[in-house]
Amino acid sequence: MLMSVAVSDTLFRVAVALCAVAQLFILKAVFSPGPLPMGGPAEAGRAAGRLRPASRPLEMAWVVLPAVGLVFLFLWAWQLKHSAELASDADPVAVAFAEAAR
Amino acid sequence: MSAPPIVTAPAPSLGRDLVALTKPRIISLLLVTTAAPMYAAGEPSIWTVLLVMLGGYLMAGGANAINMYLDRDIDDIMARTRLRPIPAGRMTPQQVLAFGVACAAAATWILAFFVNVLAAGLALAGFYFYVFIYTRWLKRSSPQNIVIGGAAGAFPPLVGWAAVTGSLDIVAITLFLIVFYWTPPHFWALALMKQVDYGRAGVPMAPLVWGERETMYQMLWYTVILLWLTVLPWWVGAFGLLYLASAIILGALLLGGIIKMLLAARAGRPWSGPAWWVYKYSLLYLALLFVAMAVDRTLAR
Repeated sequence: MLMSVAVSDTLFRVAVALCAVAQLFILKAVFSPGPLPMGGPAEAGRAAGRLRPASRPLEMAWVVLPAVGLVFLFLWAWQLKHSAELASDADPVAVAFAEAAR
Repeated sequence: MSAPPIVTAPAPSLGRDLVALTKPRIISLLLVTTAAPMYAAGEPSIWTVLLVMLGGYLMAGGANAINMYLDRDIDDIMARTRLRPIPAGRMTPQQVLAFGVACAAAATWILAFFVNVLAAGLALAGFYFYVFIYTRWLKRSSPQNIVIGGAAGAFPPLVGWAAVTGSLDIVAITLFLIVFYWTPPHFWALALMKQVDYGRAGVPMAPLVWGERETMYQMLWYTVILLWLTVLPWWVGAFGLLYLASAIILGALLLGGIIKMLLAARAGRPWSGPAWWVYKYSLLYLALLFVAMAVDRTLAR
């Protein structure tokens, strides 16, 4: 589908902003967890269980790691898309030289 | 009066138990996420596809067998795992461990010798991740168990891609992250329905640690990210409109199911029906999404 650069960039920015909000809520569950609700199957499960407390710094590391991966992926995608657009706008001879130099 | 018909369960056999150790139903989805990227990445021969399928099955099957060896103490506690070969007493733990190691060794040899070393290395990395990081370390210690452990299930697209191209690029990494971000909504839907079982076994699944409502919200956040990840390959120009339409429609249905479950929970209505739907549909979602990739690229060539 042909899409102008401006529309494509706006779509990317809006989507990444939504992902950032979602990722913040994911981080919040680990960094500042709310009180556990009482009653229901969760409490029955906890009562039946022998759950071991997890190391908090490690929990934080586990939740940050995928977020860092996402940031790198989005930067990579942005850079790839824009380098492709620059190449298509450039002088064909210069593009041929750039291809040969890779 | 005639005697009532006698209904018997299939007689246990070694062959049936060995197949059960590999968890074939789970592997079928892994094979879809291995094969489809192969056709999205290029035009593999049927021979290459079959070898990768065989190697992938043996590697995942080996990991699953070792998982049953390591979890033999809790498999006897949970209703849904009590009939596995070790807790049922049909196989010894040593037999299961040997079978798992043999499967993984055979898979490594097949992939390295007949496909390529990168595909073999990635499959082996997924095996070690599942056995040591997920089963041994995180499963019983952290509600992040299936989040980080989900990376093990995200290796198959990398294996398929590497088998065809001999390398990895941004599309392959995106496919890895698609499976990674798909895993929490999928498994937490199951965990919501099996909380007592998991609690009894001492597995700190998210609903037990964060509560049901927070787990449902977390499923929603992971799905929001998942939806953009599924659109990203189209945005970078790797896949076309057929794939984009599939990703949007399939993703909207998944998101709708999770919102329906969340709204039911917020209103104090029964939510187990929608949770079960999300669990079942998420399996279909991932399979169809990957098939759409393969079809999109195949038609474009």
